[in-house]
Amino acid sequence: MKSYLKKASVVAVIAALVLVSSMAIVAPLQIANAQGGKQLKIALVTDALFSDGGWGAAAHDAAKLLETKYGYQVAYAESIAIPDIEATLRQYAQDGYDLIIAHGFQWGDPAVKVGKDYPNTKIVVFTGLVSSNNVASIFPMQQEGTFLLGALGAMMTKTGTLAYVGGDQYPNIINIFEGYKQGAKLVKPDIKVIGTYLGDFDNPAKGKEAGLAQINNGADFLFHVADTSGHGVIQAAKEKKVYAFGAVLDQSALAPDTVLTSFVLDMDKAFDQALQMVVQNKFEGKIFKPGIEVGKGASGDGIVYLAPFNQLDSKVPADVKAKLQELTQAVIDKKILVPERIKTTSDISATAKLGDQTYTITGISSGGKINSATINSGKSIKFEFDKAGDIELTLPKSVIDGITVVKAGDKTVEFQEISSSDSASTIKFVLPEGSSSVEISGTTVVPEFGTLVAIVLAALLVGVIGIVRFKGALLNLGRP
Amino acid sequence: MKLAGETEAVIIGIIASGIRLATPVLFAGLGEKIAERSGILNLGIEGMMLMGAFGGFIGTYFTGNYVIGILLAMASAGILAVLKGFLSITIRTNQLAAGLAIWLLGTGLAALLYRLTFGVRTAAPSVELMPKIDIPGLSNLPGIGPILFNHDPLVYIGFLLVPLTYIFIFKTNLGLKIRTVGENPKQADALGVNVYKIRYLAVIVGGALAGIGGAYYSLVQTGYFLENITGGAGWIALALVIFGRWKSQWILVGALIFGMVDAFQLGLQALGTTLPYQFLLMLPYLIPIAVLVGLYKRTGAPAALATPYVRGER
Repeated sequence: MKSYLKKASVVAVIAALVLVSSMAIVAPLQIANAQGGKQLKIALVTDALFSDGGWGAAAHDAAKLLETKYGYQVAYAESIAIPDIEATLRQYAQDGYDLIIAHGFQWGDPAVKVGKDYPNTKIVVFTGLVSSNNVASIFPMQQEGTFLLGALGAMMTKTGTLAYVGGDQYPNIINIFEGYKQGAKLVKPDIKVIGTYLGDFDNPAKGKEAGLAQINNGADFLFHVADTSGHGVIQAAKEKKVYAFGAVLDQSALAPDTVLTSFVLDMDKAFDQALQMVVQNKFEGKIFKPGIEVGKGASGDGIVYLAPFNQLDSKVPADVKAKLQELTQAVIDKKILVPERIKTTSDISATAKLGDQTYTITGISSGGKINSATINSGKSIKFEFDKAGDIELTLPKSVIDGITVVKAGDKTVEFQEISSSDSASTIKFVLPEGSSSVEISGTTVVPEFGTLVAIVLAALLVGVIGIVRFKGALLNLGRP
Repeated sequence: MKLAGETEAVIIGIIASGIRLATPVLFAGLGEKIAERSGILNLGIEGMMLMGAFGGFIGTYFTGNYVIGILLAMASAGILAVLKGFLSITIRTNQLAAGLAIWLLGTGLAALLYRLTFGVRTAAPSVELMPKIDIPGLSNLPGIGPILFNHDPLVYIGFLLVPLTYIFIFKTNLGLKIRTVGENPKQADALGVNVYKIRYLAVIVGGALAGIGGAYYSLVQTGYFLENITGGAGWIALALVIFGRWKSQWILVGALIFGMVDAFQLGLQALGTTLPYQFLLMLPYLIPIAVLVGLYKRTGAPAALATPYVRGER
């Protein structure tokens, strides 16, 4: 009898604790009352936290704006665990919501699945890469914004070293940093850009130490895309009095004398666009890829912009501002292309001889290096690579002009000319697995995790075990 | 080519960084050690650290006084420890389940209270970071000075706690009672030791120390409170106690290995190594495992760990 009572009370106490703690997540969210207008039901769902001072917070504010601007009722759900995403979407669709804004890349596939069962519900996935009849994605060209950050940093750096800290190596984040590198190198070809990945978006202490280590290695601009870990990166910059770049929203308020600017995703505009598609019955199930705009709410479709310098405005020289403006316009006008790059790249180069002339070809690659380059006089240039991958090559026009065909082995591959000047043009293509030779283009490979490193690691572990095991006895280690 | 001075600065930076990364887990580990020595396994330590981070933050935010912040951090985590004590000592629930419940409660409660206080906003409120204190005469020593004697006060306190907790557990009467209660509560009871009181005391002291560890993140490292700011440090601390064989000095060694290896890999990434970062991120966990395998002899855990004591039961 007694033990029943005991068990019951245990269950009750634990249930109460779990209930209280789960309420803690949900409780502060309020559902606003509609203040008129059509009773459209909108939901904002995300795996992030609305209190993260970044990605989640910006979405929360943007949805709040829909309430105040149009008087719609918006329901909110945050901190949804990845495995619960589908069930959450299904619940809102079941409850008859007209528009669900799913905030995060991971919501893409479940959205398509749930969307099939609820054709009357429209789902817009922010930063997704999926689409169906009633599911659309908005995938901002963030690299266009971070390109400008890289260029700005390169113009202002005193040490010649820029740095970035990433939460994890997701394709989207690689793309952001590749834009940053491209911008930096455009301004200062010999600039050093160092990067650190934390493997953790919620660890500000680690972010801070990563930033301090980068500053110790000469970096004087720190750029983060690491959610709350990024708060630590900004703190490191503040402590060492160097500049930081914020991510996703204007993070100047976190450290006004430190955050020079931020690349901002104009979610107010993006969510409004999503809403208008539904309100005006113009929903298109496709992937939208909006790029940069000159400033918040500017005309055009762009939703990525750089935040104002705020109180650091006087620290940015006028010629830097002018150049930045010029670059912004060039990117908007597609005079400078900042291609999506979802793999980490490294620089490659090769020299080719023709007669007694030597030509240098440079580029970037996500895969291997160029083993050799030979010019087939007057017709083509041929590269031998040691690995497949995504490749961009800058070919001097004195070597080749008016590129028509790129062949990998004997198959023709698609290519894109991403920029062209009087002296050279840059093309981008994919060298498929299994091919090594390309007629007209080349690549570089990141050194592989070599056998040598594996041997060193094994020796290290065996050594540590051995030392502790045998010397440990002398030190009386491990005796209780 | 790097100049010798720059290389030295990088190495000093890595070691000092390792000490900062080790400090919060050291506090939590020492606290957990005291609780476990009395026979209470506290899995809720992560939740207590978060409450500590929150308590420390609001205490300092509203008063501008770090001492009040730290005291509030200890109290916030201590309240959870009282609850943990109630669940595990008084009504004798399964200690694993009670610990997990405390973890969830602490995580949710810290977030709820923070939002009730500040609301949801894009610009997080912040406090000035706790200033560093140079130890006069020592902080200028070449090499060792900037590594050991140019830190915030909590680093010094944390390192001081290592011998203090050792003396407390092994050289004081109360420490002896705690160990007896953890090894053989029945015998302790027969000798007139109040098992329940001693266990409550140990859990609360342990919780308060975990609270300081949590406050380290909000007051020393970042100046903000963020939900999940502790980033799983409580779980690392739990592992450290086992790693350290329930002994202060080895918990310190474990915390330092963890912190140093983490700082080392961050330093290596910043140097621009070509090693894959995934491999580097693994190191702080891999090296302690290697040491643990090397050390393995017998656990040395308190005999009555995670066993509730029922007075008068045979």
